Amino acid sequence: MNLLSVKDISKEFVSANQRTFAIDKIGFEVKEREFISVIGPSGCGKTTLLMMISGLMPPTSGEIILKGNKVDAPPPGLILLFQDYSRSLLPWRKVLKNVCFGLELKRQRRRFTGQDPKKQGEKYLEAVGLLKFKNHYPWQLSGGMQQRVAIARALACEPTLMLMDEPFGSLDAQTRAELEDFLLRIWERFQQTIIFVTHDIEEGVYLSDRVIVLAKSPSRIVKDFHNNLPRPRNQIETRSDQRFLEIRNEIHRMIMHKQKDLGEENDGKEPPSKYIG
Amino acid sequence: MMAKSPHQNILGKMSYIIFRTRWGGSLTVIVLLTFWQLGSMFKVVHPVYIPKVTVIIQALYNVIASGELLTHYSITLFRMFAGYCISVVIGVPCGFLIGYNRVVFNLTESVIELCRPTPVSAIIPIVILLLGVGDEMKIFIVAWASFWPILVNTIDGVRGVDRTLMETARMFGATSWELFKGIILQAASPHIVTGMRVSIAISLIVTVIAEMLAGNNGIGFFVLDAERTFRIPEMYAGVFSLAAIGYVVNRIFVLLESFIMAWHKGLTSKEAK
Repeated sequence: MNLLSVKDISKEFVSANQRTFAIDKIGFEVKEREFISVIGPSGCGKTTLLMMISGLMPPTSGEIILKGNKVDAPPPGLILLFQDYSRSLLPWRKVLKNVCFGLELKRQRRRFTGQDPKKQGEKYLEAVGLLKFKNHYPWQLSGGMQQRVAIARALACEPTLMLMDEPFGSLDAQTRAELEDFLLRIWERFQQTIIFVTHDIEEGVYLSDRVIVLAKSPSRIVKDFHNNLPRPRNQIETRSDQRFLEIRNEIHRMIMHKQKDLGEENDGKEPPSKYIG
Repeated sequence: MMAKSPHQNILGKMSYIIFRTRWGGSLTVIVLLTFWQLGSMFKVVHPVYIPKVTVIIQALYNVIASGELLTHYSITLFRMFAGYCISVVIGVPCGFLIGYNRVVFNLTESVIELCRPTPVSAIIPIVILLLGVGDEMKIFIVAWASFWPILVNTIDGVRGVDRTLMETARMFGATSWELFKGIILQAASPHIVTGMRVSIAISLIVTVIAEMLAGNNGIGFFVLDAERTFRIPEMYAGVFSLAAIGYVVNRIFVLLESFIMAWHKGLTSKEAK
């Protein structure tokens, strides 16, 4: 059975003087334990897509089914990791209290009866290697460490589905490679399903079993395919593997072509995403 | 361990304390008072209208020892805190409501922007007309004047809560109450405390003005009465004591602020860098 079904969802933003067609009938199925990368150019509605899957924003049409239930509010067992991780940590709580934040809420308490949130928090803080910073405030840590705190907080709720919104976008290359491998280890150890959104083609290919390529304005699926690169992945070997390069180049070509097509289609006209209403 | 100055000799230590720590500010006060003292002593200024600092301090001691000042202060501080507490109790919840609910905000914004800048001195006649010249009038005026900064700061605080924080909490399944208690209240608290600190200063000012305009007791009355009966040193003594009270109240607030919200101090000083 599929864990998640996204059924032809569309999203249109309506403001006082214009309508923006952001997402056009995106549909896909996600199996348990899958690691899916969603790759697309910036501004192609990737964040909007994740907000809709996580129930924080209703789609204009279509529906999302998680474990047989329609999503219309944030469902239990699903955690979204925001792009602005430093802004998603509560600045008045120390690191451990931040990790425990989710667990202290009523809904999660019901799921974790009998477990001490503090112990649970410490367990996952240790998993991300930050146990000795548990009494620091988040703003005392570096960007990469803050992101790991956010990951620990998500993991502590033991989600079945984790959505990650360009989580390593604002990190330097080294920290980024480190966290990519760290994420793969975590994924293997805790057996989640992950939907990982990124604009970095290589990162998307490196991490995932399956790649969904989006085009923008409005956002739609261009290609959805399995990526059979062998696991475990390795920053040097995987990235220099012939198959890795082929996949990367193909995706690159796809995205470039799409943008070129769009450019020709709209020569001298209004962009297709905006209809003056 | 004691904090150490980087200097070993006495002179170095003293100059460090004066120029590099906040104690230097006290020195400025002492220097200014010395000028005052000398100016009055050598009749640069009229020594009857501006008496020597030593004479003022003597007068201050006398009115404290006789219990006169204390009687007035107990009345003044009661009015001040009564009015202030009313403004906090009403202002903070109203601020939350207005800040959280877009409709209420739109409906009340103009009223707030009309009432807030109206000089409080201008509404005193109205309040005297309606409530007389007793404690009710004074407490009302104090509550009115200190209400606005608390209200406006609370509104700003609530409206300024980061969207990402709210969405994070919602995603973890926070109920409305948990959102309020766990996110909005916490994130807005620095603004609320700022509003409360601004208002406590205002409430002292307004209490004194109200006492000067009407009534026969309180420190405001004491200062004005001393002037009218030509007890000039006592008048100055009253003003000095007000300066001291204002300073102490503000310090208490600053300490409370840094104690309760250490996180905010650290966060903002880090962002400033």
